[in-house]
Amino acid sequence: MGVTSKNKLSNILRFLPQGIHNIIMKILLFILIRRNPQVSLRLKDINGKIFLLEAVDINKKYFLKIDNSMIKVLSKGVENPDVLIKGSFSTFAGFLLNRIDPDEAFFNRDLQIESGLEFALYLKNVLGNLRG
Amino acid sequence: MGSWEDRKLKKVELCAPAGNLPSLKAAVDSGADAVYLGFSGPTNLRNFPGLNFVLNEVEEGIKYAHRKNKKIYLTVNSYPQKEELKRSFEAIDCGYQLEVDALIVSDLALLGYAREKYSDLRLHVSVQAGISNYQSIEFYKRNFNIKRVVLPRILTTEEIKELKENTDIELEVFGLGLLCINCEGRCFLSSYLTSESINTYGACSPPYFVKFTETDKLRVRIGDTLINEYDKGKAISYPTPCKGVYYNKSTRKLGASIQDPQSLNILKIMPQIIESGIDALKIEGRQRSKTYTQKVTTYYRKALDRYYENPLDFKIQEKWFVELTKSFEGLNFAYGCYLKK
Repeated sequence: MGVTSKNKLSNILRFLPQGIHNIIMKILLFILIRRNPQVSLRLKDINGKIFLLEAVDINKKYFLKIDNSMIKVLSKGVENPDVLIKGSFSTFAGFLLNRIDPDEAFFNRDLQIESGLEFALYLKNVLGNLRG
Repeated sequence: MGSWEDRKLKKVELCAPAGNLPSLKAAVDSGADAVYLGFSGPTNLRNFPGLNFVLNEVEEGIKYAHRKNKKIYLTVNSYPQKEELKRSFEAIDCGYQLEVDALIVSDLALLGYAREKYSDLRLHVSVQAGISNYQSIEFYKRNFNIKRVVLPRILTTEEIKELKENTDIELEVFGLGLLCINCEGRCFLSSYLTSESINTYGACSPPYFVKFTETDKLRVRIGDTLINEYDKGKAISYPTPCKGVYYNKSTRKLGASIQDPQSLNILKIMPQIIESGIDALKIEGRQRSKTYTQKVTTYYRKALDRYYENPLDFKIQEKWFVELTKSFEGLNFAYGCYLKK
């Protein structure tokens, strides 16, 4: 994707309300987990944990809760999530779609883990099992 | 070492890492000859949360690899203490039943168990055993009928050549990955800061001890010990005690007193490495993603093929090197001890 079209997409994503973002994220995660039941099995060890993914370039926040071995998107945020990860929207998307190496993004500071490294690493490793 | 024609017939095997099934398949499809993996838990040295294989995944991975005539090696290379020994024995049993192509082991009890129970199981000695002379290799051969040794990263190519001239055991060396302080199996730095030893727990600086705090600078702590701080936005290295920045009493300066955070990458000196007589080349990184495995395996496969096409005029594309550098866990590249100590 060229720089201009990337900027256009960023502008559209920034303009969309958080509620729409949450719905899109819900659908994406639902499809991914449904196609990869082995991922769901591995999530049980972090049941109850809340992750905040903050897409800083489009100013959006996604609160994800591991609930009953599923990843649920919370419509309302919480004050102290267990994990806070910051990055650009395209980095998060690339990670979920298995197109970006999250470690490389982390060491190059495209992803920043501000709290809960252990659980962040757990989620990264579990999502590494996604087969598309 | 044999003639060039002999060596051309038996090409160096490319061993790629896999921490999950998608990575295993990516490694196979990207040109690895063998893939090494481990079970979830402390039986091997990549015991990270959520990483590694369960039984049915190993089974599926072996079927996938064998269909494409590739090999799967099972890593059981921690040094289990009494309470964990049974788990490592079970890992060996499972590996044998699933028909892995070799077992990578370091602990003598595990080597003895595997040899006595499964006489036809191919055994490789892990880098964790720190074997660096041919007398040791012969000891393992005599007592456990091992077929391969993964050498520690402390030898020059000349020393590897000398080893090869004195043994018929296969030699495997590391080509790519984060350099550590090269005392594999004997490193206790992580224990000092976390009370967990890499040799028994299976991970250096377990993640629940690592904390990143970002204010004016990014500060990295292991336990309560500050090991590094970085300016905002600057690339960082893998947080381990040996890569920490400490105050050096003799120089009175802060610096990487134990080791610079460097990553090994032998891509540009591949001919020297191959011509030292090695049998296999290992890429490190079972903790990394499928994207990483795919990338590093692809470039190493291309470089190996290019070498065998024309060993006297070996050239790599600069792009391969640049792309590999981007994936480093260290901040710059090094040849380790291969060219000089």
